[in-house]
Amino acid sequence: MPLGAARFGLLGGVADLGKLELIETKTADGTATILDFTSIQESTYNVHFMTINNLQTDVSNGSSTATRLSNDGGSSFISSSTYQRAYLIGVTNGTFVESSSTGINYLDLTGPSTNSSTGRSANSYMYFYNLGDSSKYSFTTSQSFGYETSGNGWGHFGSAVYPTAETHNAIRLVNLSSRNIFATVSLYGIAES
Amino acid sequence: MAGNLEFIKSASATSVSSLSVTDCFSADYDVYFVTVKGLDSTNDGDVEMRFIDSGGSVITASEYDCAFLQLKSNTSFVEVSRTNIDGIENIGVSNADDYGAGNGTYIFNPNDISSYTFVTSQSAGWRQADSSMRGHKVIAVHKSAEQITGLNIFQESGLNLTLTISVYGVK
Repeated sequence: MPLGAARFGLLGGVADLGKLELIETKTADGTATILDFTSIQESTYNVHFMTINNLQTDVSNGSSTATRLSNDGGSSFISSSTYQRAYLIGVTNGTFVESSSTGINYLDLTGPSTNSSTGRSANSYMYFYNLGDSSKYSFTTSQSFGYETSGNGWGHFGSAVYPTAETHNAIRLVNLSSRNIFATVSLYGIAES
Repeated sequence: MAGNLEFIKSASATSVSSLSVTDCFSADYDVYFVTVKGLDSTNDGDVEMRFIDSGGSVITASEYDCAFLQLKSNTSFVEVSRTNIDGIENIGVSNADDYGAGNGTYIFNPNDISSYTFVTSQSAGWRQADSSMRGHKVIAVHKSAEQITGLNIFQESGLNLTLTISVYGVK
């Protein structure tokens, strides 16, 4: 085995239970346009996993909800056009669309544009990488599916980055059209030992 | 512990040409989840994966197929499909800036001697050359019904990598 390692560590060997560890579940009840996670335990977990269930808004007009990061514990969230992302959108009426940007003001979408119609919601999961590592960029990979405002199933999968090496210690879901949101969102850490 | 993720093993190394995690697959699980962090290197490059057979040898025969979509933040996406290759391509990208990457890979049926071993993988990384994000969504298969006991990760150009691999069983 070609190693040539300056350092090599092999850990573990016996299965340890329960390494997808729930940090927090929060509910957006339609009274605010944002939902913040400010105790994400970024020094404990290198990989975070988030599930977003039944995301809707409180009005009939459709709008998108996205994620942003904070580097000050949630006192503020980065909203400058400095995130990069690329994802493929698939719509059930047959259209696939590439979407990419090197300068957007959010990290990743939580799914399609949604509204208040019964049964029409966005559902997704995201992996966050390196949030607590001040020497690395913060990356995400994600996948979603939902029923968009115009009446089609809409899914996306993609990757994104905030290309500044710094610690990120809070995550915000924010509706990009300032609509109040409904959702159940769970944040997990993936333990490494 | 139905519906859980169980830590099995991790390995980390600094400036190595490849890194293996041995004896991490067993009859205890059908599905495994692997994360790779770091992927720092001396230059941009694609990172690949091979499996380890029951004798402990890295499988370098041309018995892998894969297809992936390369998602680029600064230009059009690229579809790639390959058959009969000697490793699974683009489970991630390394970069020379030491800014890291993110990877999550699922491996199906590695311990089953009557099944091929299947892979789905998604990643996000950074390219120093054009200061852009590069994502990958990969499907792959090792086309030999045999027992797989571990995995090996390396950089396609032979550059050294600094990385940590963690393997979990999915219950």
